[in-house]
Amino acid sequence: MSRNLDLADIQGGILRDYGESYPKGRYIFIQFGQASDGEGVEAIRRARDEARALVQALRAKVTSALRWESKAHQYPGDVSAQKPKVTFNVAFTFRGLHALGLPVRTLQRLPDEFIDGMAARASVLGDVGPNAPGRWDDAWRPGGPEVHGAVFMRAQMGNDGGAVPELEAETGWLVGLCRKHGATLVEGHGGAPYQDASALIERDAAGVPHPQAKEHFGFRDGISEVAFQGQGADLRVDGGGKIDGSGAWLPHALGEFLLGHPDESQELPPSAPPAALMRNGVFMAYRKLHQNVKAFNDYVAETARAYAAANGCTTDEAREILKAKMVGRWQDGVPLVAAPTLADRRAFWDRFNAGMADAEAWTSEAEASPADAGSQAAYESRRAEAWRPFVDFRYRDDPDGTHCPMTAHIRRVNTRDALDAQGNTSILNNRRRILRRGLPYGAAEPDATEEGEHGVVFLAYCASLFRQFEFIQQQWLNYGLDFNAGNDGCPILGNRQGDNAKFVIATDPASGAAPFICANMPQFVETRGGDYFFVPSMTALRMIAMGTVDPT
Amino acid sequence: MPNFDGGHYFLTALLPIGSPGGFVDDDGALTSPVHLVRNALSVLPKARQSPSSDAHGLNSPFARSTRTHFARFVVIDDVAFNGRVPLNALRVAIDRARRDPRIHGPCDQLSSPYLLFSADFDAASGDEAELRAYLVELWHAMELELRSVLRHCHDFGRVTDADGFAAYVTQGQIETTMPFNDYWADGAPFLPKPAAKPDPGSIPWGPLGGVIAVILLAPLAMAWTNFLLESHPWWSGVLKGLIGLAAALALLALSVPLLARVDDAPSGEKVLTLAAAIVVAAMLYIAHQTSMALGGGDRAPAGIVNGLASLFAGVAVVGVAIAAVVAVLLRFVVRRSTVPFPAAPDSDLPAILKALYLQQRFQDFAIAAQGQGDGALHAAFGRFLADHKPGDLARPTQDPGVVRS
Repeated sequence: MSRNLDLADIQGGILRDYGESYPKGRYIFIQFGQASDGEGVEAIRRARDEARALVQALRAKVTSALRWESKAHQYPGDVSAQKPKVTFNVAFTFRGLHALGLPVRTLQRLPDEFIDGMAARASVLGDVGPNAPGRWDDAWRPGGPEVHGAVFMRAQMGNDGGAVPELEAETGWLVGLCRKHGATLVEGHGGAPYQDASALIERDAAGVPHPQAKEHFGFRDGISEVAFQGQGADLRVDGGGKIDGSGAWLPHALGEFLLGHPDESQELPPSAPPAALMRNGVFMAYRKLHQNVKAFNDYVAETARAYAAANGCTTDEAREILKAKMVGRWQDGVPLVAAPTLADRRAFWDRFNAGMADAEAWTSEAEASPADAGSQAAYESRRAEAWRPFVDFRYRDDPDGTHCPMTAHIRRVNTRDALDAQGNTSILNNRRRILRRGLPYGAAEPDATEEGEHGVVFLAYCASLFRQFEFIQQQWLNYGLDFNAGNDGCPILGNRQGDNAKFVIATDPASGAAPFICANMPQFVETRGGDYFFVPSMTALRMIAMGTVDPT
Repeated sequence: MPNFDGGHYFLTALLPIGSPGGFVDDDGALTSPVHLVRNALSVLPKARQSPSSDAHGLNSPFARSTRTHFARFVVIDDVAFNGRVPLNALRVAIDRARRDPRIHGPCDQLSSPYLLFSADFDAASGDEAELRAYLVELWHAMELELRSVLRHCHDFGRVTDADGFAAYVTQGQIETTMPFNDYWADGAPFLPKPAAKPDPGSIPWGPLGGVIAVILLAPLAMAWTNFLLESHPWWSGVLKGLIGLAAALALLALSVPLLARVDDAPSGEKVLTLAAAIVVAAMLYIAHQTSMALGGGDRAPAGIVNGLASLFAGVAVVGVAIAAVVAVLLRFVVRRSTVPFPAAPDSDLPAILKALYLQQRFQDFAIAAQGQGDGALHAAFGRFLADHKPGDLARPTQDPGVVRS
């Protein structure tokens, strides 16, 4: 019997992304006021109390995971909260928790990587060369001010395509609050005092702005979402869950994404005392990733000519194919495993459109008789059925990577059943999942240079940064041994480290066509900063603010 | 002989670290010998196998040997203590005097720290001469470094030359019980045949004569019993059975040394199988004699005894047959598994270095040749063959101790 989640105790934006009705983001980083040893014990105590008072004032604002009225499909619980214009969430670094005066017994049992912080983990994360912390934004560069806390806001969009005015109002309130309690904003995010982010906006013929689920390289993003217990996402389990020994899809264990609950090893994840501090909280990696859009487009255009010559297709087709092979999905999100050729992709969309038309028929049915819950459920399940081919696929159908290359981006970050040599379970993947909650930032115009501010603010939530986020980053993105590809890194995100970076596009030997090797790949994505945070539950926020974290 | 397998010798040696007074005068500082060994190891250059070791440009001294695949030095301070030996609570309750949990159990420790030296290298056989030749070669290649590491090992002062070094290491050699090499790309041959049949040795006439004597004398003893005790049929059968059993045990005792000599090694399975066969034969004989004594199958108790005896005999015969088959198979596998695998094709160090070199060059070639027409590709591959000489192991090739060239 699984227990319902205590939604009012969990911060919002973890179980599900705030979604398309909050296309604007603002990430504000705070350093608490601190007193040095020389100023005496009393000054140190006062500084700590001010930091706690700041948290106490913040926590009344925090958005919880309670459900509100929305178009979101498959969310747990009943509608019980008002939908805010701006959401508000709080997280702390290790140094922040130290400044807030948590006891040593608690602090010392926090995970090593969280204590280290992201910059100190540079060699693990591949943050070397152009990604090195010394080249990060001012806010994140080692030796500068310390980030102690983060306030993450997501805002609805106004008619002008910008954020609703409430975002500025909330920001002003927060800045005033910080000033009152002796805290400062950690500024220097590409020249801005905080990090703004926004879904890419496209305007229709009438000039009305529409947020797009895309990133700057032009790929549809955020398709494959992890489905886990308690999330109320039964219809997304096929493709989003784990594959068990009988080949069935099951939701992932809750403890992989929320502390204090059993995880995929059927244990409670390790936790610093007291248990109530960690329960319903989660760790998060904040990472600002700059995208070298020009380098990417130039490289694809140049390599497409060679690919077209070697494979007898047009350069336009070659561009599409190269991009798709690097990611594992066509730019519109159609997975290569399900649709390996351009012709397959067209057929895929035909099937999808037919499925959605079938679902829409049930919407009109539901509108005709709103009291009929059955037709709403029928709509939901048909809609999920139409979307299912985007996520419900397995690599056992493509063991040699002739459809989706072994080292394509999506085959690395979510290995599904690919690493199970004995059968077709996802058992080696189940402990390496993360919840991705991010937004693009900046704009990459067609003539943009690499100096501009454009990329992705990437947030990864997981129970263990070491086991989940860092493992994916180190072993699967910047290394290729698990995919029988030696040192080859991810064609999109991998760091290049001065080597002749390459990417192999395999072909079916029976076809007689030669494999194609993309060589001399430049750096497409660069780290511009980030850190590790703990996102506490509402209970933990109260304990931290009141100074009642008692590990005994 | 696990020291040698697949064309590679796997050396493991444990060399005690220490000095007569327990300390060394290191330029005026009285220093622990094991500290100085660790210090020497920490300044020994590592192979160029990571960006950081590649940067300083120094290579491991073992790279001067073109036979060494892997070499390791490890300082072993002491054996790990795994806690006291677990006691069975029931046995403690029965025999508290000898298993009192309040009394400390033994805790083993090494008498000194040890330096473990392990190396696997190309060799023609597992003979001691092969090992000695390698160690002599190693001494000539890196005497200075070997001295810096080993000079605080116990009694190393007596080593003055290559032969002395070889003798010193060989003295500390222990058997490598689990060597590992992985150069059979398509799987190693299954259960390789021994090179030669084991020597059966000379025939042990003493036990053999004893066996023959027992086989001849036992029926005589039984016949004599029959004759002597004809008027007491009931227990004469039992007595004959006991004589049979005694004869069987005598046979067993005499057969053990006999079998040990016939086989290449005393095979426990074979001895047990024979013992079981003899005991079962004796029991069959007892059962037969008992049932005969009871007057055949015409009386009820005798019928039951007969039936039980037959069942007993049947189970015993089947059991012995299975045991015999298992023993023979086991002996076959055990004997074959002690035979070293032959060397895999191209698995010596020069061939492996050349393979690594060619792999990297061929990758560059494949990338550069993408989309080329047949003629250009043919010409380019001709240049590739001329430049990189796949058939020439000596050059061009990859330097030893380097991960990429």
